[in-house]
Amino acid sequence: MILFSATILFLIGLYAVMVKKDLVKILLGIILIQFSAEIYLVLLGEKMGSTVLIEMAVAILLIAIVARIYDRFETMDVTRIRELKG
Amino acid sequence: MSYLLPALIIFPIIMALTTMALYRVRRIWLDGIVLTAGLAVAAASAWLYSVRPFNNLLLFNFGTRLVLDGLSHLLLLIANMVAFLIIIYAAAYMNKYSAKEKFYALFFLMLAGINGTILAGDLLSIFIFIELAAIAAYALVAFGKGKREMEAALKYFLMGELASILILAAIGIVYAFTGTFNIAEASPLFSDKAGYVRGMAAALFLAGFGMKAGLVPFHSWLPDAHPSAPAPISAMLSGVLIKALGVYALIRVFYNMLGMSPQLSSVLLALGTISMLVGVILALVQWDFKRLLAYHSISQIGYVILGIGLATPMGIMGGLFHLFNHSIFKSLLFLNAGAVEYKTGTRDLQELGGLSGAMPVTSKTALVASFSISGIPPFNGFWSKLFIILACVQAGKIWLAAAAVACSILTLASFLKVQKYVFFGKAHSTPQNKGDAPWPMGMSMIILALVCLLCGIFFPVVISVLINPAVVALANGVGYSKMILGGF
Repeated sequence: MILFSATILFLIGLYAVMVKKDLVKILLGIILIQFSAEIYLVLLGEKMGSTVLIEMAVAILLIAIVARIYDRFETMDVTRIRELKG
Repeated sequence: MSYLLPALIIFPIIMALTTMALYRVRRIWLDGIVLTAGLAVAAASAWLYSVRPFNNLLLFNFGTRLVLDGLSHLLLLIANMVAFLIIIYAAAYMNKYSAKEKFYALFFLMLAGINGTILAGDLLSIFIFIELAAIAAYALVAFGKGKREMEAALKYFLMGELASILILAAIGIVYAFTGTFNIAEASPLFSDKAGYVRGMAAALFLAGFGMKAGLVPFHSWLPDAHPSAPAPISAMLSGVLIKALGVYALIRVFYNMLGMSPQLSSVLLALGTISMLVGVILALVQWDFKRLLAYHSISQIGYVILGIGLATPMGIMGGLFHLFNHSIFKSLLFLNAGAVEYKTGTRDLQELGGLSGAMPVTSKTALVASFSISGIPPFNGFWSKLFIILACVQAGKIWLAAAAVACSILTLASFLKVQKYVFFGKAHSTPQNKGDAPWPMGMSMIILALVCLLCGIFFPVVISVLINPAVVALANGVGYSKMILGGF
């Protein structure tokens, strides 16, 4: 049951990252993928729980970058964030 | 003396916290403290050579087990030496940015992560240290705070986190089937598991670490992230980070835990050859100096993986020697590009020109580095490429040898373009102010150029002292676990 819901969580996250254009939705998708990974790992053994801390730091940095991108580009649409090419 | 191993991880973390607290002191004191710390770390990693028994291990237990064998020692030496030279350079270069102390703090966090990845003896610690280094690297790529930097950081972040999740999944598989994270303990337990389990773990490790290393199907973040960082960080990312987090972790897991098989070897050969060719062909059409160098990083990592993927002693030796050489000449090239940008304010090759007179130190060291990367004798890149090509021929893979030769010629063409447009030809734009880059930047570039030349002339010494112990550690294969478990 827990494994099943973790898989659903993972698929929702993957859908958000792959399909959505809004950066906030992509951000939430990544956090969902991380949650599902953590659920799997905690099920495997309590030692894997120490990765939760890392994921938290990752999520905080991602939020900071997304906020800064909104500052610079004044949009959250990933299709319009295209300065780099080549 | 094995207490130096945890010190190499903990000391940079302490330095990161210290430099954060030093935002009020004068710049010169901050630089002095940071330089001393960098020298101490570099000296410690070199001095460990007199401590570690030849072709043997140095172990230390503190919660996790730290392992120093020939391979990790080679990487440790590269990381800390290059980091020290980059700190010298950054002391002058980073003056144009505000918040220099935050730069140093993130730099030391990254160094702690790299050292930890290299020294850690179990998969969970490797993952945690990889994340530590990667988080610092994401923040450093975004350090310039402009539009391009933020976009590159976001791209790097998304790809890097995807790679981390894949690595974590692979570690989860290993843990679920063996009940241990320790590479040495897991290796014999994992070897008798069903083929599909081992195959899935290998595929996940390959995708995750390959993404961190910038191998070709997973390379799209690298040409954005590396040029967008400040020049010292570009040098650190291309010179050390992709090797420690990607190549080192990949070959450690493949050789010493899963054990090399002909299938794994052919996958590595294919990935290496594709990266080598795609990287150099994409590099040929670039006009941004640092972006061009970033594509060459992909190509040169392809050489390393090609050599190591051959799984013959000669191939491993050539691959590791090329890894060592690449970290030196590619750092040097990024530092050259940084010096050019520092003086002229642009990295567009079409706007540059005729700098060989105005910037003698930069242009001469760039010439040395270009010769090295293109494989012109007697510089170091020539020998390592020669070994890789000879190893390909020896293993009966003539086509791979031909691809390596072709890639070398294209690399030469690409660097002739750099030399022509940046240092020779007519001056399109005058440097903002006369003279070469400040002396700390010049000094670290000259030292790196000298290393390129000396390692080329005295390559037998480098191979016998630095490379061969690493080859022994890899060729030992899954015997690694016996060595570590028997060591207690």
